[in-house]
Amino acid sequence: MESEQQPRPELGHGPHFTQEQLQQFLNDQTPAPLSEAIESHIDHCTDCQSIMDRLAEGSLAVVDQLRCIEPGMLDAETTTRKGPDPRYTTDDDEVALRPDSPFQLQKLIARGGMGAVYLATDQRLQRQVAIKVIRQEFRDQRENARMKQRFLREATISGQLQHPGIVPIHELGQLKDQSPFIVMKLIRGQTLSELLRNQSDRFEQRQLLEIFRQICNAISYAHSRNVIHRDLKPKNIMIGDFGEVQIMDWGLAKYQSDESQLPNDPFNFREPFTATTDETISGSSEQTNPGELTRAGYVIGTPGYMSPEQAVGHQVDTRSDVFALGAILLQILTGTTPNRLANSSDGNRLNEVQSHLHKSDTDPLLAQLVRECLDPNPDRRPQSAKELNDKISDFLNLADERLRKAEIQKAEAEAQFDAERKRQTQFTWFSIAISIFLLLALVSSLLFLTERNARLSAKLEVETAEIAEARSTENRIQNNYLEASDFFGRATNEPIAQQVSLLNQALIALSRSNSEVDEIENRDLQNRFKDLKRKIEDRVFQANQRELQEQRETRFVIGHQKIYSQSKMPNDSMEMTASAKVEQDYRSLFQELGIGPTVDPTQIKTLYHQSAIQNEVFDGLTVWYRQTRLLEPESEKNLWLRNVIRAVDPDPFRNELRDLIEQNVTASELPLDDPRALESVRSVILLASHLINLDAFSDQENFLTAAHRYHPDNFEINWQLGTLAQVQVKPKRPEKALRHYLACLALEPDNPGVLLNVSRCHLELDEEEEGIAFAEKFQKVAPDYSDAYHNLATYFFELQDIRTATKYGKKAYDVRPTSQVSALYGLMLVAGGRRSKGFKILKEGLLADPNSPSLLEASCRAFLIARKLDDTIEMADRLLALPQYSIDPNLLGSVSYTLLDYGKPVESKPYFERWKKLAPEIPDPSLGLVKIEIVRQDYDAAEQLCRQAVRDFPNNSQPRFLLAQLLMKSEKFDQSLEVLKGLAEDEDQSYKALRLIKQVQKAKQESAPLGNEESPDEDQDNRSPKRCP
Amino acid sequence: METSVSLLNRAKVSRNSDAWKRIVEIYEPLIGNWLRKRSVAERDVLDITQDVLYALSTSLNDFEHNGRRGAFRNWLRFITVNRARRHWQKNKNQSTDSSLTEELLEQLEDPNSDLTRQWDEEHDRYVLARIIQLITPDFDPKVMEAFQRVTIHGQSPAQVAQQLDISKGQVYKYKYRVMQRMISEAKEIIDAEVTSPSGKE
Repeated sequence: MESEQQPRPELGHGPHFTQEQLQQFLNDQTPAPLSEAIESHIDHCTDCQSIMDRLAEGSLAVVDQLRCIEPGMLDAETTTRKGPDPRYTTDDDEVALRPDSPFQLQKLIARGGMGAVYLATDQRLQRQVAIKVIRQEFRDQRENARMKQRFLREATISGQLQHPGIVPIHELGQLKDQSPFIVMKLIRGQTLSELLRNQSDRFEQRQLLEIFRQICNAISYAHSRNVIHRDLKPKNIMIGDFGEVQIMDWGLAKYQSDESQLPNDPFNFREPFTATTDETISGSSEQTNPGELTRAGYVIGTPGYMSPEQAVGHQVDTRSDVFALGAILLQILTGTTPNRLANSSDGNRLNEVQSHLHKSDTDPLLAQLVRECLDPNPDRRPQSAKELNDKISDFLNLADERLRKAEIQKAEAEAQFDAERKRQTQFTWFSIAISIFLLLALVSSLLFLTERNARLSAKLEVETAEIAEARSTENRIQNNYLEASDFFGRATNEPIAQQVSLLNQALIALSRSNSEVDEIENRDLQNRFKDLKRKIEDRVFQANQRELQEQRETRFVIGHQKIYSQSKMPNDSMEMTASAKVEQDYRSLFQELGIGPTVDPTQIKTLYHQSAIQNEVFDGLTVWYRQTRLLEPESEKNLWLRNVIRAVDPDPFRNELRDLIEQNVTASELPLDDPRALESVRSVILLASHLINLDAFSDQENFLTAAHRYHPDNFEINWQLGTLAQVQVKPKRPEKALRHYLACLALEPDNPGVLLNVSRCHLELDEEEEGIAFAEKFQKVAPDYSDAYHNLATYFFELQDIRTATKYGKKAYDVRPTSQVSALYGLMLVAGGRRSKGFKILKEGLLADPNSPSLLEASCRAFLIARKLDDTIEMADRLLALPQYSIDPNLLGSVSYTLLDYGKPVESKPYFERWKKLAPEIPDPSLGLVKIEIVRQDYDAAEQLCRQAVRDFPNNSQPRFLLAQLLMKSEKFDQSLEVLKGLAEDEDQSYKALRLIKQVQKAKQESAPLGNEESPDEDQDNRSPKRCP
Repeated sequence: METSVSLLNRAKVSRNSDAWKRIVEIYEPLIGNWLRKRSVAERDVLDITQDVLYALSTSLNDFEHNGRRGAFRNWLRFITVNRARRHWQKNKNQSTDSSLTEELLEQLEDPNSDLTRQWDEEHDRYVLARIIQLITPDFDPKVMEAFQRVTIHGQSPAQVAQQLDISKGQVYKYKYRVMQRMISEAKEIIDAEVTSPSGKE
């Protein structure tokens, strides 16, 4: 293959390369020897250059816009251009003829994109000629070959076309530098382009049309010889001083189908190409088939005058020239340069043409002709220049006829009038009057008839044209209508964004005919068109509404998730109660969705069913309802929410459950093992929430454990099971809790509440490392919360690791010094010996939150540690004064005993009494009260209280020991011994009892001389029974 | 033949991608400046531009080139009209100082209006220029120089070859390379297909 494709070494005369080969070359995929061959071949071969141009440009439709890019729009550094713009350089030494040339140059006549035309004298015949050369800057050895081909083509083709409208070529020649030139007849005049541009000496339209007819005539002659010009434009048409037309520049012309007419080709070219000039595009989409030289595939021509089929490189025939002629006619009639239409799509271009024709008040017949010529479909154009020529000739003849008729009529009328005047004097007034009347009647009827005929025929022509135009308008509207309704139909049942996109495309289709739909007679189509437009616009409106709704819903979901996530976080006592906050949050969230207490539940039902976030809305409604039920039961809002929930979730079974719950039935009355209750998550949550309200935690746990089998991956169920196992149901089972929390974490890895609880469970399991790790994770997702550090501090504090505890206490305090954190941190500091700092933190905390139970408790403990009794009493009193607060009995015990031990027995009494009430199950408070009486030496009262304690705690030995000692003290030795003997029978107490018996007996013996004497050791023992050996 | 993924298609994959950023970088100033040229108040310019880009981001995946010329810019034009109109409706009482009137919006809706033609031209030129800027760093400066001289400044390959001291084949190669890259980068936006070796027919 490759060897066949090797070009011969001489100047670019080798065979062509295939498109694939050129593509490979451009892609650098060609082996070196072939690459060199191609390189040298393309230096000269315009065909292959054009193919490469086309390969590069692909189907980039806006490639012409590249030229319009201002260098400033690109980076400055990429547009460095050195020296003057070569496009604007000139060179006077452009034409250097050979010394033996018969031509003598005289002056430059014109300068085009690539060429220049000089006036010269042919010294052999002494005639003036025009010489066309390639401009200096485009001239080099390689270009010369290309231009030679083009000039040769021009010469051969126009040499074959002998027509007064086609400029004759005399000969071809070469300049000194080998560049070719063409010698042709000199035409004195201007190009049609100049003619049209110069407003001052504007020809009358009639004359311009005559020129156009001549152009058509010349082209139809060329067409009759199977030659297509392919680059017709006003610049290529010379109008001589006498109005004669000369079509020039046949360098792009080609033979339509008959290969045999191609002359012998000394330059061995296959298909001629133009150079890329300022305004002419050339390129190729396909390798030329040597057998079919004139086949389609090349893009040559000038935008605006170039037919659509030519622009895309399809097959070109006479009808493409007809298109160009149409563009020229349009320019003649309206002054519009078709260049400006070049970028429009086919349909748009016709609309635009129509509007220009309309504006310039063009004769309808001509307007119709222009539209026909510019029709994107070649089949609908006049099929050749001949047909166009005939039509224009007909029109001109008709116009002449009309003009002539009008002139004749005018002349006749004038003649009649003159004759009348002459006769006037010869008649009497009466006869004059009669004659005038008769004559006028005759004349006017005559005039009327002729004029009417003329008008009728003109009108008929106009009507025919209008009907034809209306048809094509109607077709166009019909097409756009169909396209739009196709898009419209597809827009149903699509996601909203896609709907909008499709609807927009439908509107685009309709908008193409918006301006013309009112012009047509077809009411039905008009109505359907407008109806569809209205429908689409409605739908766009709806889609926009829907989109807004979606945005609102997104915000709702985010808000809802925030509240939900928040509900899993520890409550902050500083803020308003959790329920009130949740209630408020949901109220504003739902308000944005258009749901509020003023809206009818049935309406909300409709909203709900349109909503894409039904689950979130339903969950939100239930939580909201539950909060209002806690906060303001039976309020209007609460009842409204009740109805809303029943409206949006009309499940009969759930409504039964709701009825039961509203009656506040106990756990045993609920159908907790009904499969219907377990199968639906909504029912499960409904029942579980109610069980929470009932504090029926073990029922809740059993029920949820059953439900968990149905819904093992439900977050809420796992969460509730977790908290039940962790906190609410004793004994605490941190391991089980952890399992459920980890399931939650799998569903929501960043849920802070879950992270916190996981951390806490690990700590409860003494898994310190994991506890810390999850605490840090929590801190990351909830950086404003100090709870995880707080937990760690508590954990280490309980382990007596004050150092580590203080570290986390400080972290928690730095993150967020809540009352609880301040309380813990302050207390830890005091316990760790840093008293002043600790008390400072506690004091500051109390200043900010004087009724914080945790701060008051911590302060109380701290003062106990520091033995500051008065301060302790103050804190204890403040604690006890708190409403709805139950003090830790241990704290109360410590306060009571510390006061008693440190010399404030009287002050300690109310605390012992309070303690006794709080902890009636232990004897310690009662014994404390006994000891107060002992300290006050009121032994009778003490004995009475003590005997009561013995009765209250018959199974506890402590009251009896104390009684025995008390009896000994009041020298009731026998009674004391009796109590002790009873105690000694108990194996556990016998050692201590026997020891005491010895003491009592000893005291009894010594009783007379010694009197009351008590061992302080014993006393100490009894006060703190825990410390008994 | 290499088929690289276009900017638009890369942007379709993810709104976090560089490609989407590029799209925003191209279209934000384009739409913004277009509005500014119509003396739309800066505040409204920002709102509308953002709205349009938002709409673009949400419906980009639904955009399919229908084969009609200018499908993307038409689509964008309609989004812009739509969003601008919605913006005025939303802020009916606030912005009265803008000259982007309903009348102008209607013109912009009309594919045959002068305004639309301006839009199209501005769009194509601007996008081409930005795409060229975008791909410039990927090429040797000489390649880019040759490309620009041939396509933008309209010099002949012969001249460019001589001036840059490379062979004419080289000029064609450079032009080809840059054009292909440009087309593959922006084919949906500026209506182009990469040439396939089999060509048309």
